[in-house]
Amino acid sequence: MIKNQKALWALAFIGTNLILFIIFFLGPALLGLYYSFTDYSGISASFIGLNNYIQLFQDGSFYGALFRTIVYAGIGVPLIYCVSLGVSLLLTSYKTRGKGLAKIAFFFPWLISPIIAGVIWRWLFGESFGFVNFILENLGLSTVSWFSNGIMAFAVLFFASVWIGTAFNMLLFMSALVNIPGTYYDAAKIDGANTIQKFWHITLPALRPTSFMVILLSVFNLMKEFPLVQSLTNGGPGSDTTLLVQYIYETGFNKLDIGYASAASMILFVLLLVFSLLQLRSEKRWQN
Amino acid sequence: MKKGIGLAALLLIVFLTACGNSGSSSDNSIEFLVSGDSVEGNAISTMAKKYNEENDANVKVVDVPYEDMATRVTNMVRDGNPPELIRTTKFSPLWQDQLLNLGEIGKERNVDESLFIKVENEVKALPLDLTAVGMFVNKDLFEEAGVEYPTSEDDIWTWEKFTSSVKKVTENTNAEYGFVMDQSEHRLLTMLYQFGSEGIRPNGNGEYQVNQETNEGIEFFTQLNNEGVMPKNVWTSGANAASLFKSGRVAAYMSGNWQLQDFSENITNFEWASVYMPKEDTRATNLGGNYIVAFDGTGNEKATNNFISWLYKKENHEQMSRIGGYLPVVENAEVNYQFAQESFEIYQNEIDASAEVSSYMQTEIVAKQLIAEESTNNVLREEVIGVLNNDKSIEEALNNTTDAYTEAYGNN
Repeated sequence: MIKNQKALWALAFIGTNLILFIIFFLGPALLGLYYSFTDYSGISASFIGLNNYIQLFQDGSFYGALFRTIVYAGIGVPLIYCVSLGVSLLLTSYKTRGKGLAKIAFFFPWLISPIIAGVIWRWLFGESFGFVNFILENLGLSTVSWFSNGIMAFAVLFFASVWIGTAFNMLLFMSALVNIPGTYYDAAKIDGANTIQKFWHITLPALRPTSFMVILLSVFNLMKEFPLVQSLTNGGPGSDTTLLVQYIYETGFNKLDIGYASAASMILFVLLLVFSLLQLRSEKRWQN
Repeated sequence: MKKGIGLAALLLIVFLTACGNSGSSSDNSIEFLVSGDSVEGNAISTMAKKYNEENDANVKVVDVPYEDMATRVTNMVRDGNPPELIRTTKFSPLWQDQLLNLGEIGKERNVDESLFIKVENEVKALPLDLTAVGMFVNKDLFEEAGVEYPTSEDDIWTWEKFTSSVKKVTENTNAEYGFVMDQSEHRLLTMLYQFGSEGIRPNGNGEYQVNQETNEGIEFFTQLNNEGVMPKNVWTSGANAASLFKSGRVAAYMSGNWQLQDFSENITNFEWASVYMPKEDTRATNLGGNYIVAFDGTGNEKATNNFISWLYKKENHEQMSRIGGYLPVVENAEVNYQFAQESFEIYQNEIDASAEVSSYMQTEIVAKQLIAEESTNNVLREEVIGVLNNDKSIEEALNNTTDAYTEAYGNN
């Protein structure tokens, strides 16, 4: 009886959340799953079984978008990880001056919307009136076609992603760094360890749980990146920076092929699920 | 998942707003949803105010973001509470059965019939403000380079002549590019029509196809981009064509009459002019603009019809066109614009001299939006971007385009 009552209380406390979860999360997700088996166009839907999936696995532009998404996350996540760790090491070092100002500067990107970030970077790297090309021109160098060259467009996208990604991850790293007991370092110092050894054998292992978080969140964020790409390159030139979410958006909202787009979303969902399971597993192995 | 939540939240908001509105839409008050009226000199609001004063009526103009118009109206229709009147460029098949037939008003007021949107002999939408594609040149650059451009309809240039002229301008001045065109299918089609394209049309079996001239036009366009006469980043990566032209470092810009007000007010660093567009085979522009659509089942149909009829009365239409800088759609309407009068005359001449194709695709594809669930929105544009980015051949791009059209509209 007491147990039941406790369960009821628990249910009451999570009730609001549960209802919101079901209405706004589970409901749309199940609806999306259903749509992926139909040819829904926003108006009428008829069941077409696995046709969307069959078509999807033969669709070159889907594979292209998938490949680019994996490249984007594959390069972007290590970059974000290294840069945010580096920045937080600098910002927690007792040798650094002007930490307060630096923290604000590095955290600033987190405060603005990704759309605005995209617009800022687009302006900086604009081909005809961009700030970077203006500097290059004044230095007597040739200008770079940042957005009409696919590789350059990807490079700008990386710059912007790292700029935004660093802000939040730096915060996570900094709080973890501060919490590493100083006695470890003192002991290592007595044993004659140098800075690199201290970093490798104390700092990095102590940061494991945080690293796990940062990598997991970054992978999710990058694989689902939408507003930044939309405002920065709009998937261009051509489809050179069209990632999976852009592809889904294009098919769903421009071509009104919502069934097909839902099927692609399901693939993205499965990918992310598999990744998080793998990640969870490896974290457990670390802990043991 | 995030998208799902956002969408659901949006639906809830729309639902709540729709509920909030339901009380007010009766008693002959007319809700008129419009996008971007404030940037067009409040033409619609001014006319509504005038109508309200003259007729003791209650027309309320509601400004809706352009991107949201179709979605919002669709949701209102689904909710059984459609607005009385909207001004739009986008349509949904869900509206089809709930639209008033505006044919009578259109005929009575002498509205250009070639622009009526007809489904099964019913006029579902009337053109309200007409736009046309046209060419701008940077007069200063042309003069500095000593290059001429056509000033009357007797010496229309060819695309070859046009290209060599703008090349000369870039060679002899500090201009960076010879020519820039909005990243828009509508503008590209204009150029293709001028090359002799008949647009994307169905054959007897309902399969869509294009002619050889379309292919040649795209080839020419690609060449202009690859040679650097046009800045490639406008089409491949969406750089803003209008700001490039406004910078004063581009010789010519293909856009349309909707730029006139902005250019008249905001270009101060150089002299610009509207000029006749080049042709290769045919003279053509591409018409566009907003349509007026009235809904059935609001209880205010009669009042709505009265207002529409009043709006198309010649002198009212002239006044609205004058304030908004629109090209008129009512026969014999003469508009004294507040700016760029000569430019408007050139546009009017271009429209008069244009081949039938200039309005064909526009009205045809708009009408299809009321019938077909799938959309071919920007298919050609995306395919041509693929060509410019060396992802595919022109042949492939055109095949993909016609396939998409056949798939979307072939059965209708």
